[in-house]
Amino acid sequence: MSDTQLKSLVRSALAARDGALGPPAFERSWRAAVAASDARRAPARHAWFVPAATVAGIAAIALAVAWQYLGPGSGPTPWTESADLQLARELSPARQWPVATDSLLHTYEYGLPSAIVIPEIENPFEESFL
Amino acid sequence: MRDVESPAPNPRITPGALAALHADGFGWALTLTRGRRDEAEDVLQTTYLLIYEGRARYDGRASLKTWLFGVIRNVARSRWRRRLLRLRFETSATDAMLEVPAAHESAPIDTVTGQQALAALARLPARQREMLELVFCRDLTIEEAARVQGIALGTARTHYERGKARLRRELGA
Repeated sequence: MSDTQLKSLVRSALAARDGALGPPAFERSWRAAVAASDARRAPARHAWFVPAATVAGIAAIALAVAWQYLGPGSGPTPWTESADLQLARELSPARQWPVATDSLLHTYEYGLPSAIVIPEIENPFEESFL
Repeated sequence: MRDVESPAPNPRITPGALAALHADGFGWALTLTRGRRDEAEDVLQTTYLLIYEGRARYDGRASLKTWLFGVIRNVARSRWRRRLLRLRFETSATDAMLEVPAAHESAPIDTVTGQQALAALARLPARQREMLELVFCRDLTIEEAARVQGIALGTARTHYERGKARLRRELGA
């Protein structure tokens, strides 16, 4: 088989394949490409949502921090006697309780945290064990 | 061509010139996608997209046909590579993907010789098959075909000669 015959055979076979499958219209392919390009360049429909939500989130955090430091009641917390200390004072009124102290001073004086003050209450059954 | 926008970043290309090469380009894309029509359409559309957006620029050094065929080939290759990479993780699908599809035979070719020729072409190595198609069917010179494939002229000649010899053997001629 000569080169010319081979060429003719390949050419007709590929032409038959191309013809059978049929190329799409050029305009259709071109317009589809242009539309794809335009769609990619155009901003997404809800693209504003993410930056808006980000700004709103940052603003909310800033407001919360500002409120913490500058809002009403943001000064030094007044000292209040702890519930444990009050209970201990009620249960053993004879004891000399510090008139005004905070939990740190209390711990310093008694060597124990305020919550463990309760065992110092006079035990009404103590004598029965002796 | 009426109502078809020109690609602004590629002033040397007119849609009319592209339209004249459209059928040949589609045939070339068909070969590169092994006869899958939908994929060939996608490849051609992606090529037009690259031209329209200027991501593929024609500088006039080669003929428009040579350049266009080169772009089509690059697009088809990169799509193929991406697809293989994706399928590497899907082992069950990989075997089906790697087998040579028989899409060429699905085209209703009338003559038995035509079908035989297509089947014989499909059995050639890709470079040889592409070289024979570009030279025999798309009317490119060996030098232009070498440019399309991105290989040296000497290598292209070797593929061309070996392709012809192998095709003759396959056809029993």
